[in-house]
Amino acid sequence: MAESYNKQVYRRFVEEVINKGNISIIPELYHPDYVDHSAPPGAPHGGTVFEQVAAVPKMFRGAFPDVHFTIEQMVEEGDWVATRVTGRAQHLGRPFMGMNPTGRKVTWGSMGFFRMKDGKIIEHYGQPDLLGLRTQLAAKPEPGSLDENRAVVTRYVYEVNMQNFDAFDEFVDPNFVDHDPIPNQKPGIPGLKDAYRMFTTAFPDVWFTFEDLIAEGDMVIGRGVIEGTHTGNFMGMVPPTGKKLHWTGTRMFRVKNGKVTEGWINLDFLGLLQQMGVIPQT
Amino acid sequence: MATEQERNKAVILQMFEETWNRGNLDYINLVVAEDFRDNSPTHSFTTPLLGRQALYYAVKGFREGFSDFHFQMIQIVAEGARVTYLGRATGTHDGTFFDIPPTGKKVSLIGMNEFHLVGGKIVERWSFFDMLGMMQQLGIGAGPGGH
Repeated sequence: MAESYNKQVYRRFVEEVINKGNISIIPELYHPDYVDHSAPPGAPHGGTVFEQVAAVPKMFRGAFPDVHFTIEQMVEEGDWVATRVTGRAQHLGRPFMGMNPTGRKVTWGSMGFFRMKDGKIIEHYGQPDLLGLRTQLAAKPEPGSLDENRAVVTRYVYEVNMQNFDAFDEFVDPNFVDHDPIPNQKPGIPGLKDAYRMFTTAFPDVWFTFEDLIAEGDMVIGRGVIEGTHTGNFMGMVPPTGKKLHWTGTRMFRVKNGKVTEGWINLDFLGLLQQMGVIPQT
Repeated sequence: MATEQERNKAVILQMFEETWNRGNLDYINLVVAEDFRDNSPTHSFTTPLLGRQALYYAVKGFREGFSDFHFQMIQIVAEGARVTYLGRATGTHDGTFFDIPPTGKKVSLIGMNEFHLVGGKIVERWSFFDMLGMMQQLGIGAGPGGH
């Protein structure tokens, strides 16, 4: 039996908006008179109805860049569709419920009740297992475990994003080896700080987000995206363009005894220089 | 003659009234299958997950903690063998709620359930109750990470 129209609306919300971050289709799925009885903690108020709808997946994807919902059940009667989903994600992005990112893999269930009108969602109640989610996020990883290694690398990247370089001693080994240094980079932690300051000079709001993070043995490797506004001189070569730039990067770290000891990084410098207009886009 | 779906809805509504709202725990034997399975995610309070005792201990625990515990239905949505129930639970924390001594505080929380019925008996449930909101309204472990 083909899925009903109302169930397809909910499926598109999960598969497009939640799982892919495609917030542009929200007006196709939500009624202008939409009422949310269950805005999650931290969801902003104000703005248009569609902006309020978009704020929830934006917040989730900000904290959990790889968030993925699986629809377990949809029950439909009259104007209502009741749903049950399983969410899976890694806490790699922004803080969530007051907790800094740890790279922790989490799984949680959620139910929702959606009332439909004219083929669009007009009313919603939701009940995610926030206590279970918070308990998983707050759990301390076993020392020396892969979870701990992921947490060390996630913290490293988060503190760099926050430009909290003074905290480096807590998770960077004094003999840290940077395998991809900038020209004339000093050894150890001082050189590392110089390298990051080079980036924050060019992009004061630079932010690195892992979209995948994999740990094996004492290695942690991740694929991510970087965003930043080019308002300062880049590497003494490119004067500010004022543009908001996006580029990708892959990073690998060795972690020993709760500290990163070695690092590798590969950034899409071609894409970056093209966006700056230094190299023509073909 | 009522459809299976309508009969199933009536079973669930009657179950909420008799057990959660009146504390008639014997009623569980009438409407819950012996091989009942509870898939509720946050089960820090109800220990068993298999058999009628899963629901028995859940209802008993809540009613011991909140003598006036009451579910008010907001919406019931059914499709064949599946019945979902959206309600608001209210109560006064005047007894020991599992390990939590009484605080005297009133709580008001959303609960959602999905039930699977076979032959008019409940064989499975998934319960999503706002336990985090409960802890916050009771003033327990409300900070980041809890405890």
